[in-house]
Amino acid sequence: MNYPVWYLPVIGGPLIIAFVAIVHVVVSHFAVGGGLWLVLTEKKGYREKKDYIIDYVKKHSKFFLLLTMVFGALTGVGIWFTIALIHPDATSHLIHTFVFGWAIEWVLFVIEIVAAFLYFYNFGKISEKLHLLIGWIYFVAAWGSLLVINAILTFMLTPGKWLTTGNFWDGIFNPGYLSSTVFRTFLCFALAGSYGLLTATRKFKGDQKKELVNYNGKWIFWSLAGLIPSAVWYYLTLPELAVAGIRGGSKIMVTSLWHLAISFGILVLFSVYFYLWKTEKFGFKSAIAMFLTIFIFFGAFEFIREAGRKPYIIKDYMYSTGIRVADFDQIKDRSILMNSKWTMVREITPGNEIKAGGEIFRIQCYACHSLGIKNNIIGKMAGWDLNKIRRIIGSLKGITPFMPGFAGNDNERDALAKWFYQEVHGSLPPADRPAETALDGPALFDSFCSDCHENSPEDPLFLKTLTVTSLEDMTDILGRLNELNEDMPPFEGNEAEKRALAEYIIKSRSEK
Amino acid sequence: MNNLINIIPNPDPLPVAAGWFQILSHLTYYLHLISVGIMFSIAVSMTVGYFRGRSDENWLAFGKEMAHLLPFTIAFAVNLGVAPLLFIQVLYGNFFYTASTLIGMNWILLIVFLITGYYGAYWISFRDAGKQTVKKYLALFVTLVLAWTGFILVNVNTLMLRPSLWNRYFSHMGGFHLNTADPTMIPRYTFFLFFLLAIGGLFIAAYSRIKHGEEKSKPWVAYGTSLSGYACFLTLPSFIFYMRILPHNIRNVFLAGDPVWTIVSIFCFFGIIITGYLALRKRLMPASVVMGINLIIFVIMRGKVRSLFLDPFSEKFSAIAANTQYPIMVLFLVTLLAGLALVAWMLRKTYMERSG
Repeated sequence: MNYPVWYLPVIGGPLIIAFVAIVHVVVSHFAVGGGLWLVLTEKKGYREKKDYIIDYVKKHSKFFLLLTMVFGALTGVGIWFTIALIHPDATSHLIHTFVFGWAIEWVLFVIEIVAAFLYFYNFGKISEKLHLLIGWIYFVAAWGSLLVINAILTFMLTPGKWLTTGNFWDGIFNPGYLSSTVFRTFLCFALAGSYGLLTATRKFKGDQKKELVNYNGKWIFWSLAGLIPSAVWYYLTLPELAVAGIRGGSKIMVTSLWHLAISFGILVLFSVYFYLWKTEKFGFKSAIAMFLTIFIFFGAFEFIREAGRKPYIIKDYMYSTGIRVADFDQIKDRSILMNSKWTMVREITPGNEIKAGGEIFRIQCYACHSLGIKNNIIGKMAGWDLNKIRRIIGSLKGITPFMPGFAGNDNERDALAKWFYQEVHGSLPPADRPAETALDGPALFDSFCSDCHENSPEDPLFLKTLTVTSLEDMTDILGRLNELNEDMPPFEGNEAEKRALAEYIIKSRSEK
Repeated sequence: MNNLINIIPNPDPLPVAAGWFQILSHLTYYLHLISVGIMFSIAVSMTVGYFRGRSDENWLAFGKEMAHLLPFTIAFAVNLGVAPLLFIQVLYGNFFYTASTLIGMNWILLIVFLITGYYGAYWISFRDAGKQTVKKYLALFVTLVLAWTGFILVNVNTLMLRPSLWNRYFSHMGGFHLNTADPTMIPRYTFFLFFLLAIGGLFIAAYSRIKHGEEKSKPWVAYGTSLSGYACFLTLPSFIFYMRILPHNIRNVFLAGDPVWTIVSIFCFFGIIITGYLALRKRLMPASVVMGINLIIFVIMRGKVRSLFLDPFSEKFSAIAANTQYPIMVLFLVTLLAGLALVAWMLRKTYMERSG
């Protein structure tokens, strides 16, 4: 609204963010856990006087350098570029609030790259003590980066006291910070162990392989053990809405939770079987399976975290659309187009409704929805008539708490509905008038109520109207829906339809 | 002008006074410019080394030496670019994000190109014995990627200064624009390319002298100083052209309109000439000192050009927030000093152990 939108409707912004973010977080967490793995494994090699372990660490550190210095560093810049393109309002806000946090993270990044170069290029060329010390410095700097960035990430989901104080430290030490940091730290170690397994099973055979599978297995096993309490702790700090989403309110969160649980179960089984029982049977294929399973686990966790923030980009402060919560009502009362800087249409006239609708989609919907690959909004509307589209737009918050309400006036809602209808069907309905609905109860219920309600005795529609028995009272209630609940749209059918629907609800309830 | 003001996004408040961010962005940009100059010159020299190395072993060895250095220099150039990019987003984020959205596709693809180029640099660096033909063209590719990176950065940095060109957004919203309609963009870019070679040429000469000693390094000191010297003189047409096509009110500030800035621009112009002259005379140390001072002048002048472009839109500059963060800034400065001390300690300790 404040910024132009980088508009790629077929791909959609969230897909680009998801792609860049997931590859970056996996590599960046590996950069932290791998740092500790390198020094502890090197130390083990020296302590046990095993050259093959030192050689193993040396080779590992080359890959580590190539992965973290190049891919990790540049995708880090890439995710920064990406969020600024997709969510410039939120990025600007985060940059202005936490600039010195980011600046400190930059200093840690300087230390990281110097230490990583010195560590890799000086294997066997400096004393063991100094080499290990440089490895430790690398790890502490990398973990320090995680501490800073994770503060900003968790702030977006649980800003806590910052919402009232605006204080930097309240933002950093937000309610989700510590638990998430512990959780992510264990994830870092699990990733390090899983990569260690990949190289150990590829490089070694016999007893050496068994020894190193066992060693790396420990990393994963104890990381999984640490992940359980920290995940519970993290869960306890989640906002109410995110918890509701996990418990069934959000399809994507529930699906991701299943992925998370299944992948975790597989990891536990793998670990128990191979680490505690049949170490010698663990091969390269198992290592790949383990690595991919951790990847899925991590991806599922990130999806839950991202989805749990909806409908906000910064919880209770800014919606995903870039509109600040404090400005929402004012914008809604006036006009989204009038309040937007980057639109070709400011005022809706009979000739520009469709064009205006397209502009509103770009400003209001595109932050989460695409017209193509991910979260395709058009596909969802396939069987909807114009009235239904209009109604859904007007009652988004009522339908799902994971979407912000529509921040436009009635004309803008109609323009958006018409634009959607045309996108779905290729043209507007004849004469652009509300479609007639047959006066039959189930069809009326389907048309006017089924967006949010089910024909079931547990549904609030039936529970809340238990005491209403007369047809007149029920008809009256249907006529005042938006007064009774501000998240509900007004009934948009005609008098005959209203009466027929009231009759159906009473009859249907008595049958149940 | 009112229309332009209306499309500029509203800024977010600053946690400390703008002057602090100006200092930090100038300081870190100075370091970034030096590191990019070194990186780009090494990439160009590596390519020259591999191309000339077909018929001359010495050039091939030189190309390999440059190839070994390149990954470090890319790492530091990227790292030292993060800080000025951060501070500029704090000061002028509303201008910067808008410009980057207009060139969004090119902006994001930059990361893909850079990853490819960076891995290319490592591939060359780690494979001493590989096929020279492949390396030769890969070196050229890496150099072109780095040059393209500079081109995109100049695009976004010039476009953010020109809200009058932003309405092109509506002709295509997918971010395929470049700032080619801005006449200042190309001379600014060519100036940078030569200026970077002028900086890095001196580094190559100094590095060769330190690494190989006075006698053995002679050809490479001559190469580095010549690269720097000629590049200095090649920047001058771009500098003059750039000054000529700056909007009248801005040009006027540097050409007699404001005595202080006129002196600064004269210093910058003659500083380049003196650096070029000293470099061509192979007077490495004086040339480096003059270049170092000249870079300070250049960075300050560049900042001034930016503020002159943006001054008409000053009502869209960030104001200071009610919740200031001065103690956090001090914490950052302490961390920075401690971090630099730690880096210096690691380098010194490693060097001492390696040299026995």
